[in-house]
Amino acid sequence: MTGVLILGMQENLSKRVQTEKQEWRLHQQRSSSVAERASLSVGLAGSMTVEPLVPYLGNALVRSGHVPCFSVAPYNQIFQTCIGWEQAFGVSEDPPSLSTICILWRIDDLMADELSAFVQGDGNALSNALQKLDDLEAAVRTLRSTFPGLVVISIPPFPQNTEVDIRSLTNPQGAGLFHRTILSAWIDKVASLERVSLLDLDALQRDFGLSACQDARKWSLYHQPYTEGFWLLIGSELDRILQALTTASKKCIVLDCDNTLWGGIIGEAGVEGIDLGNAFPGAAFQAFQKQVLLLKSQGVLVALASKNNEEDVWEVFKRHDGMVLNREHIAASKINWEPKPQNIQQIATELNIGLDSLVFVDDSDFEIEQMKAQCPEVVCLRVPDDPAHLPSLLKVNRHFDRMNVTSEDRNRTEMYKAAVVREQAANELMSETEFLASLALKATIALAETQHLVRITQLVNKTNQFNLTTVRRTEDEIAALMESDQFAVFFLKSADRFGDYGLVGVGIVEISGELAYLDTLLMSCRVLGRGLDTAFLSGIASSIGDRGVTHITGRFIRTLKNEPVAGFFESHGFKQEDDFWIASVAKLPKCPGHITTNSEQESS
Amino acid sequence: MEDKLIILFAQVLGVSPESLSDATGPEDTDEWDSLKAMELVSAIEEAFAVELTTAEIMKMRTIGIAREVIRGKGIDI
Repeated sequence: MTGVLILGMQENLSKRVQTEKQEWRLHQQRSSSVAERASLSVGLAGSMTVEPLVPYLGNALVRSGHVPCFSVAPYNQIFQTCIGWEQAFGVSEDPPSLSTICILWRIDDLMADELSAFVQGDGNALSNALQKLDDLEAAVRTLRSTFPGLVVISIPPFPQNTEVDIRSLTNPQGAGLFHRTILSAWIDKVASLERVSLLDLDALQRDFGLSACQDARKWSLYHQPYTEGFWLLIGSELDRILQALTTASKKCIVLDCDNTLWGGIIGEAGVEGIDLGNAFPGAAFQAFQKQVLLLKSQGVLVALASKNNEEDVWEVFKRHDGMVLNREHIAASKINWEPKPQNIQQIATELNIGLDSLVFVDDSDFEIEQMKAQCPEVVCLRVPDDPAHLPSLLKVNRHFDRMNVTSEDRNRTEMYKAAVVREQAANELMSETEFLASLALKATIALAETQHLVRITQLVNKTNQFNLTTVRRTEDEIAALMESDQFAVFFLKSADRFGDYGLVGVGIVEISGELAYLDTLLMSCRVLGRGLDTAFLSGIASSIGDRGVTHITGRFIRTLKNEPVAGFFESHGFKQEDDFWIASVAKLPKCPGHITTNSEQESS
Repeated sequence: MEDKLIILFAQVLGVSPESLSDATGPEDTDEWDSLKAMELVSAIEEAFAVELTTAEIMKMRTIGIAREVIRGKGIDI
């Protein structure tokens, strides 16, 4: 019931769609009267009429902070659109102003004859349909190679064709088999295309209900198959996908304990008295913990902020057999009686991430309001009063969605926890030099290859603190730089005796003759403070020095977050000339003695 | 007096209410294409909480006919 939850109850839908269209009209008047420049220009194409999507997707994008504008390709011309998107969307500028293309297609429109033949027992029907699917794949491949922006395409929903009904799901000759075969073949094809995102129209249709999403009258008259309510749902889902593609996702979920991880108050009820187990309400809390664990396995850090006696909480983690989470899953915790805003700031500091990377979950209005007031950057989610709705909380609020989950993401908790161990070691045991030497730090610095592209793009788009210029780029743009002779894209991988950090740094250099411009230099904040920046710079310098570069220039572009690198150039011996810093490659600091570098091929 | 139906048509078609009358139809209004016709159906249904049949939608070739159809459903406009 995700869809209905997102939209509110069904009976309010009619009111809601009316308000949405009204708002969109106002937005259009406003933006045309002040000639506001669009920040997100979307091209829509469909095998059916898709115009009704515009106000809903438009409003959702406005709420996400964009100034959207739309261009809709001619009805049922998705092949032509893929092959000649400039004409289809009327784009004449170079580089194109269009930033996103979304294509919606259905079996009912593209493969109606094949489906009909299939349910009537024609043995060739499915292979004919798969042939069409190959054609569609080829068309999307062409689009992907000629269009630089984001591409989203639908998974075809279960056909609404009147010859078939839902009962045919169990019929081996029925529409169910046809749909499943096409659907799984399509998902495989899109996965092989890379950098094409899927809009799961089939799941949305299931959520909303096959009959609730159909408007037979508009289909008959305008080749527009859906009700307004269903377009509203498609709009909110597409917005969610575009947000995941264009903004940095949250990194850490900070959880209250009592009435959030379990029902009841541990300090009052004791380990035996709290609700957590197979039966409601305990089952709802258990389901929530399972979702948190799933997020953790996808790289989200899990932290606790609870007003409790610390030992009581750990006692539950240790002894309660209904617990899904265990202590090893928790990257940081503040269990005390201090105000939560103060605690959450300490959690952010300890994990070395910004407050705006945190999502805070609590059942108390007081805590939520205090957090919103004192740490407005933190996203706050209030636990629903009825625990039955708790398992929907994270399904509806999708702050952790991301395009790709990389292996670095999956290991993130381990790496951050290793960082905490290191910090403690640094504080308590030895001098900094001794500590750094004891780390046995290894750095690998090399030119990036295609296999690194996903991770590099991720870092380029989410690194805030150690980032000299904060230039954001799409995967395509970075791929183009890697191809270019004028640019060199470097990566830094690092490991020490506590763990392997994977790919943690990106450097992009523009070379013109003897002069190189440091376009981008960034490092993940989890490896700061160990001299890896110096190692990285010296590795890059030695590589471009081999190409005949004698001087390197760079700029510090200040943002709200990158104060940590404000002194980078000065401390590495650069001299300031106006806005730029310059240094002789030969005079740059060498790699610090406590780091072993490997600048050839990476040794995983 | 404000004519709710004329205002609704003006809003969806993006024209001034003064340019519309019950005699207005797609033939004399460039903005009134099939996409707008589709939008008008939704707008009418939402504004007056009625449901139009396919035959009624096809019949509505002028604002006046639309008014008759909606009145036929017990709405006073």
